[in-house]
Amino acid sequence: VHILRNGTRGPRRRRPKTALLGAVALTLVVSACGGDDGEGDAGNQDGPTTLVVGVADLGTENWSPYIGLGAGERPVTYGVMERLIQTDPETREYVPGLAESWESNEDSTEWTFTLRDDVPFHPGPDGQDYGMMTAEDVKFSLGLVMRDDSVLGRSDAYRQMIDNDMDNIEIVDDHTFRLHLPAPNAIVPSLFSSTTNTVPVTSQAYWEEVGEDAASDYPVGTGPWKFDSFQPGTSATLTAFEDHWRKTPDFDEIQYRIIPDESAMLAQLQTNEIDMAALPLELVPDAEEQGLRVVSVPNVGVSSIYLGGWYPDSEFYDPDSPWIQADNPERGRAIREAMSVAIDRTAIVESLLGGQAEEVVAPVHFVGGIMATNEEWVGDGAQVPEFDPERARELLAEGGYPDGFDVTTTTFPQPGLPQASDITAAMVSMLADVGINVETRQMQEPEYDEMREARATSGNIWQYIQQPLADEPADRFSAFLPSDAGAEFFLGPLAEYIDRMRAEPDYEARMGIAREMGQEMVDCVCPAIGIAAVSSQWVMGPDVGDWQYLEGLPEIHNTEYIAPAS
Amino acid sequence: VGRFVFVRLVQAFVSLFVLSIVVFGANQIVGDPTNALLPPTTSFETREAFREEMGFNRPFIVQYLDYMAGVLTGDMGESLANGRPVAELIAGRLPATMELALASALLTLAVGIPLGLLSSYRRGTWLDQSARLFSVLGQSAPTFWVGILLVLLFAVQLGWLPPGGRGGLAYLILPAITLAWNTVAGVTRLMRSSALETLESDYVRFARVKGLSEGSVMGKHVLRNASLPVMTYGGVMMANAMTGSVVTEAVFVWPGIGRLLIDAISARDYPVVQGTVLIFCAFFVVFALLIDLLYLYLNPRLRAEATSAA
Repeated sequence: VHILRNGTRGPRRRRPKTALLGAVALTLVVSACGGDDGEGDAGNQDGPTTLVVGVADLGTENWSPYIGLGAGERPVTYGVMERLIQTDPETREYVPGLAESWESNEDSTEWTFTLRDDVPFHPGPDGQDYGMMTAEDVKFSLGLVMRDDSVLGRSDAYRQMIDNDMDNIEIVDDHTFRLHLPAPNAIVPSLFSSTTNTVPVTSQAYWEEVGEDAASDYPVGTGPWKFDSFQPGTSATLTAFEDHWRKTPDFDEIQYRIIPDESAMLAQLQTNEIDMAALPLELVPDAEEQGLRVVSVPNVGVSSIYLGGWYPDSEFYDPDSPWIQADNPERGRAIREAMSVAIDRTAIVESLLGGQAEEVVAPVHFVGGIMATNEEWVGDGAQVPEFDPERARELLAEGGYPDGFDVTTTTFPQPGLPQASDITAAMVSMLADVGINVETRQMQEPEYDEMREARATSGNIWQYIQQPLADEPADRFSAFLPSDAGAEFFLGPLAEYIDRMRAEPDYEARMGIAREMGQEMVDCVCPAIGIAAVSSQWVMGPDVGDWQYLEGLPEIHNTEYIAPAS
Repeated sequence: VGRFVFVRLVQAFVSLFVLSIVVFGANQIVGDPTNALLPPTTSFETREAFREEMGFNRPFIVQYLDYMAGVLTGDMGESLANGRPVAELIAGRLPATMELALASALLTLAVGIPLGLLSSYRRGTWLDQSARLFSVLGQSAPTFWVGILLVLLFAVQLGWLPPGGRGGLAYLILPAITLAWNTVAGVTRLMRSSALETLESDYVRFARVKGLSEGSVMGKHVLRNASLPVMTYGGVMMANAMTGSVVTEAVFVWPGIGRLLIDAISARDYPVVQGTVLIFCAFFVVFALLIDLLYLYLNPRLRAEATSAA
């Protein structure tokens, strides 16, 4: 502001030939001054309060319920559109969302959902009224996520749930629908809960009126935030939906501002231009020095070493890899254990992850909350494998590779998880120390996705931070069935646990089955080798108060429960 | 004159044509775009299906003509990352880049010309030495380094200006300075050397002998004549301001074409990369053409040459 004033001060006599230049400059100044001042103004202004959240990207920048479900799009998609079941941040219990209640018959083959009858849809871009949310809207939205071109990882789980037949969704009345399942499925609520990537409910009337393209650019839902505007590659703004049935946000607006560069993100936080953002660990001390508050969201992902070619009972299975050796499975196990004890988890947690992580004993913890710790996952007897390079060399010899072997690893930046590449580098170094020479190949995540979906992982090991996807173990691990395009490995015989869990209506009994499964994974050191459960670090500006986050979710979420600083 | 203009226009179109082939062909030269877009482990069948779907299996000339026919009608393809039309993405970002480039160009002229003039007038003094040091620094310091330094000093430490983003004038200052410093340095050096030459000319000596004031000599005679070479540099300067925005926009979170290009490269979104680079090339050619025409208008000798040649 000072410079603006100084710059326009001081009369200067212009000659006619410089007048044009002056006019252009003036136009520029006026146009520049007329723009949005863009400042994060959370909680300290007389006018509308805006919570400005820095994000690395907004994914595909498409907000349709079947495409806008990546980590980048979710803050907008689930801000505008709600799910049927909410999750209590404290207890992590399922509580009513759009569905007031849900119940199953005795053998869990029929689930009845009763919806609230007082939930209006947001108005459309031109103020059109789309009435109240009904069971037809839920069925329509479920149909969207089940489309063949749906990007939702668990779209197949929905198809299986109703035997890929929309007629199995019975509309009982305007606010009640019933799912008829081909097989017992006790974990259906998990497929609709807010802990996970589940069906966002949109208005059928709106979609049919404006068409898919328009509806994807301007989503209409029932959420606490109403879509306001979007500038491609720059920002998306949502406004608080007044008198929301569940929680009207404390802020008038929320703006997601795209800042791909982490240093720029830090500078924006330090100057209060944005109000909150996730930062990599190495930048957190700089933010703290500036007096900014850091909130650590634990268990946002589990770092594990994945073993290529682990696709039992399929054409992609690699029986000859050192870590499988199908003709002599004990040798394969010895190699896997060698790799496990060659990893110094303590060093990784303390040095690379700044202590903001937990060493794990089993891979792929299925949830950030209820079963995130080793004890919860595999029971009290869980012991994190001790770092022992000598023992690793002995095990390599027992596995038939006394001189080690050569493998390749793929590494790529994981959005929101900058620590991933450091862990990979540490893994490569630690394995090399015991004779396993790992050649690193850098790639981008889409390339990794392609490789994974082609099941082309033979001869490859790779470190990956798997993000929690579901509260229910059966739901989580169904992502490792051959039907799932994104599966890093196939469960093989372990898949029987999924069927058992789905058929078990008692929650505690299901968790018992999950622990059996976890113990079996630990015993066989398969299908992957767990390293650590990592956290994400959210830096909060001075105008932001409490945030009721859900443990295990790496992206910004529950934004309606972010309070201004008091 | 008309023939000169016509020749320059033809040259501009030929340049654009050649550049479009180079830009489009770059994907082919570095290898089959399929290899860049799919992982090496993708099966042969998947690759073939992908080539068929994207039209990569057609002859180069067919692909090129198809692409250019689209470009001429405003269709530059669709982004692989988000499915949006490339032309729409570029059009959405162009105002921000133009704003920054224009601000940088104005800053360059406002600082570079007076500084170069002053430096030549005070040749050998501390002011001249300082201006030369400023120029050397400006032309040698990497843009990203200057940008980060300015952010740390003026945004983080002093809190005078925002560290990035696009908004009011305050948001424009640091990126414009960052982008302009290099060209200010260039203009200052050019103006200085050109003005020194002019100061030695007979007509300047004559003007002084006539008893004109120093201000009048410098403003009327030296500035006007010494500005012509700077004018030539102006085209390059403006084009540099556009393309230099790639780094500056990344440092300052400025939502222009430069950032679009970086994001597209990261995402391997080659239609966007192709479209953006083509637009940058077009800017270069158009600015060069405009400067040629402006030079023709301002320089009577060139106009006379053009007339006699015709």
